[in-house]
Amino acid sequence: MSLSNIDLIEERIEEQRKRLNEEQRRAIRSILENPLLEDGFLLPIVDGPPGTGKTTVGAHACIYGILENIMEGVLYVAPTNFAAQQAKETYERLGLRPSDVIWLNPKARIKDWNRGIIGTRWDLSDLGPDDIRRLRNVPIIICTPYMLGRIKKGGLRSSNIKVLIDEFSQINPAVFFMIVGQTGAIREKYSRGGYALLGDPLQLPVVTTQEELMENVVEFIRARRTIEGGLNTLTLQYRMHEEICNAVNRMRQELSPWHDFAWLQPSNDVRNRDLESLGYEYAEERVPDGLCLSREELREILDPSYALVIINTDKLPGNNDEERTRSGSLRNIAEAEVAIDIAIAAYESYQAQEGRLMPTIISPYSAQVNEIKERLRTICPSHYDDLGNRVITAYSSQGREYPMVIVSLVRNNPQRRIGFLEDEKLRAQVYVACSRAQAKLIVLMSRDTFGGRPLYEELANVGTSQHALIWGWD
Amino acid sequence: MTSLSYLGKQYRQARVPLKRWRWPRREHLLERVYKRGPPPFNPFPSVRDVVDAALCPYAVFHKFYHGSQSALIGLRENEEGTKLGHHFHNFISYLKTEIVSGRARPSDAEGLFTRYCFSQHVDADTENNLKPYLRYWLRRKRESLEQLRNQRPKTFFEVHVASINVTFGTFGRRVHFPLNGVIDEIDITNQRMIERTLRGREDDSEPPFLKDFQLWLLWKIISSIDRNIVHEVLGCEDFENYELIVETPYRDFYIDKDNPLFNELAEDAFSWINDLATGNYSRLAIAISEAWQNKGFHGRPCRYGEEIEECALRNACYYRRRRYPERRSALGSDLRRLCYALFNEQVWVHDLLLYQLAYMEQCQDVDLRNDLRELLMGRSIFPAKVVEALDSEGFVLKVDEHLRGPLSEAHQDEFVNLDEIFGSFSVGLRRRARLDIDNPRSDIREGQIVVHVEGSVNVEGLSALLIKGSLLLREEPWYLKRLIQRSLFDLEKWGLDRNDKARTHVTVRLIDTLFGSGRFRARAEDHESQ
Repeated sequence: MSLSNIDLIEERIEEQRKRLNEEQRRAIRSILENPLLEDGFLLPIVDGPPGTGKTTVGAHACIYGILENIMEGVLYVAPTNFAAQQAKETYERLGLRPSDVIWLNPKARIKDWNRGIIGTRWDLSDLGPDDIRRLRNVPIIICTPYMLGRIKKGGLRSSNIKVLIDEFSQINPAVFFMIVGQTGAIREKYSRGGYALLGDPLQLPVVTTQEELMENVVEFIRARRTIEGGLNTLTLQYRMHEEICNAVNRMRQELSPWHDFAWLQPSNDVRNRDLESLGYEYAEERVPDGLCLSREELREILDPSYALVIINTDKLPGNNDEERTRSGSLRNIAEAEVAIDIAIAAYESYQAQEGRLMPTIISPYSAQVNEIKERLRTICPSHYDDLGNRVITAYSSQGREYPMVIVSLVRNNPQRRIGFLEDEKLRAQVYVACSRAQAKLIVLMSRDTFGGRPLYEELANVGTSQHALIWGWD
Repeated sequence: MTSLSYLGKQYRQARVPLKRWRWPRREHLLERVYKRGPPPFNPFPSVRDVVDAALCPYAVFHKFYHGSQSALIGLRENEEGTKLGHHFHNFISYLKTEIVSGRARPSDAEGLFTRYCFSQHVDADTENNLKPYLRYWLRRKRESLEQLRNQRPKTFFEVHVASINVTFGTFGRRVHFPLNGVIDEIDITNQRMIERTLRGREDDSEPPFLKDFQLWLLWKIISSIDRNIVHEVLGCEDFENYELIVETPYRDFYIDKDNPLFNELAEDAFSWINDLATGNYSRLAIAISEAWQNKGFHGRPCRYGEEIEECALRNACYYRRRRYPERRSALGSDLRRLCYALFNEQVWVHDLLLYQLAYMEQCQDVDLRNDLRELLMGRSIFPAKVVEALDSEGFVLKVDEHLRGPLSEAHQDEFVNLDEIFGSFSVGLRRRARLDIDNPRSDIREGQIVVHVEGSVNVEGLSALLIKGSLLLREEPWYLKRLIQRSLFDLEKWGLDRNDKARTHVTVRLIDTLFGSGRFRARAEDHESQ
């Protein structure tokens, strides 16, 4: 098992290594360490809040481990195929050839060695001996936990591999032990390299009806054992403007069930990151009138000096109540129109050399995502190709980052019900959505409905900051 | 004379028959209660569950909590791979469909078999293993295949049936149960139902073990469904006079529908299922222990070294306990707790939906039926019209205008399981489906979508008969929970004997440190890291 374009990888790794901070270096060392201690066990847990580079830490550790022959290969387990795709892209950015990082996929009809995506049936019956041989020699395989049976059946990983488990907030103890069973509980072959857990315990939780399955694996471990020396916590983030980072910190404080909560710090590179510093030129005169918002209002909202904008949707004209769709999900048409107004205005008025700014709209409700897409297609078909794919649910946004994010919280009703957005764990969707933004975050929410709830109050608690605009919040 | 005649020798104590099944209440069906904890109703059992319970109550425990496959597989099938029986039946249905449609003659069977194996990615070993069985079957069916060509009977394969009104009982006592299953073949013209199997031997004088019971259960289901529903889908309504045939490669066995043993077996099986599905953990512990004491079939106890040969789960019951990991019992107790939770989750997610669909079509209460339809429409079900059959596996469907948005939402979910049902949930051809959004014929805004199904569908049969409507059924991928359960049970059984290996084995050390003593660290020690 060896990487093919070593020169390029070493060059990129070396270039990035200089930029790694001490926390990241320590986390990488932990992953590379032998898991068997004289009198115990080392299970590296990297607690990486948004933008702190936990996936980069995992990738660096794996590549370094393979280059230095510390391990023969890597099995990267991601809870969803979205997350698997993200991880693959991270490895490829570090110079790995797509064929050296195979994403093992459940869609059996996909077989593309050039792109590094191989789909296979549960019994591998659609793979020839040559395919199996190639898979065994691939340095890094990425897959979801449910594909591990195929890995075991085909003997696709050798005994000296490291198993990295990403986004552990979505890995409950049952899935964790399934991973251990499928990768380690083999008599002759076992993963001498051990396991490592990467994630942010405050991010998207496991969705279940059962109490026993609600806790994530790190909560499970902490409930049983004292983890000596603590976790590998990363606190320096490389994504968000300071104002967005502060809002995210306030939310983290509300979400954290533990006392050892660490305040997230922006690195100097991103502290003042706004759209202009990302290369986008703002032309105020190009801001058009919207369906709900006037040109002046849109100009104020899009002003590049505001990194965080909270819009109280109660102040919007007309009926802005939520409604339930046939699928059981919720949508809010007024909010959808505002989100489209802002997205189109930003698309028209911000331009970089590479092209226009493409804002991302995130909602916890799939009906709202669908509603925005459909309206966008009708209202502005010419922009649909660019903007349509930028409307996503909070679950699909995990692991990604975007220059500008518009979050639509949808809920608006006289009873002040906010459903799962109040749930102790599921409300983390809002935290995930907000922490995707690099330079500008715009949150659409009803103050009458969300007001008085600490998580949402804290989001809007910006004090006298000059980089935040609280719109219609009087 | 049936294979169950040795029931006379009672080994297993008959379970006290149930007075009433634990049904979901109206508020559960309409989801007006929060889905949390153990469900207050029983799962919606399948015919396979009932047959497994009749074989051995402990098999039900393995199925529910360890995600095990069906226990009754049979020695031959088990030796040569469980997919053999599946391919045997699928090929015969393909062959018959081709003959009935006039595209092939019985003499083309060999060529069709090669084509089938190629299209279904059947490996060479399976193909070679299947050939002798097919040779036997073809030799004795040549004449009837010729008749098929001339008669062109209305025949359906793999018909899914589900009912909430299946009645069992002895001594004048009648109790209703829910039950669902898949009938291998219904020949409406010749009024017969066929259960096909590879099990059995050339010189057998009785049908393969419990296969007669399985077919009888399927007949009970279809007989209990509202006649209007069945007529609307299949164009027939009365199954009283249907012949029940268990078909092996070597012989056809005609089953006596009035065999009283079937009733007793069914009641006993439902009683075990009820007790082993209880959400009360102390009662569950008692039921598990009773199931262990009653392992095996009536007249044939199962003991280590004297296991029931038809049971595929022998290795799940009897395995050697290895010495390491030393903290296996602590691990086991946590894993069992997780397995119970995974079962409860399946009942909330999957079985409740089965109840909802069955009530939506069969319940006497019109209001409840309408409420359920309103609840599920666009969330779990998408009624659609078949616009065109592209081939036997591809169809162009059109959904109603108000369901276009929800269908588009459903498509955005990563983990989503879609089934296409031709007909209704109660009686219909149910196939795993994949939406082909990128197909040029698909236009989700217009509600038109191309769907590919797994396993062929008799297209001529669909258009010639009364199946006009179809239903896209959307479900959470509940079967992944079974996958987790299986892995957890494997991990619980796994271990090593040698101390030197155990000391250096990552998995053993992880378990022993996590559940025992020793230092548990998440980061390398500072002095080492500098």
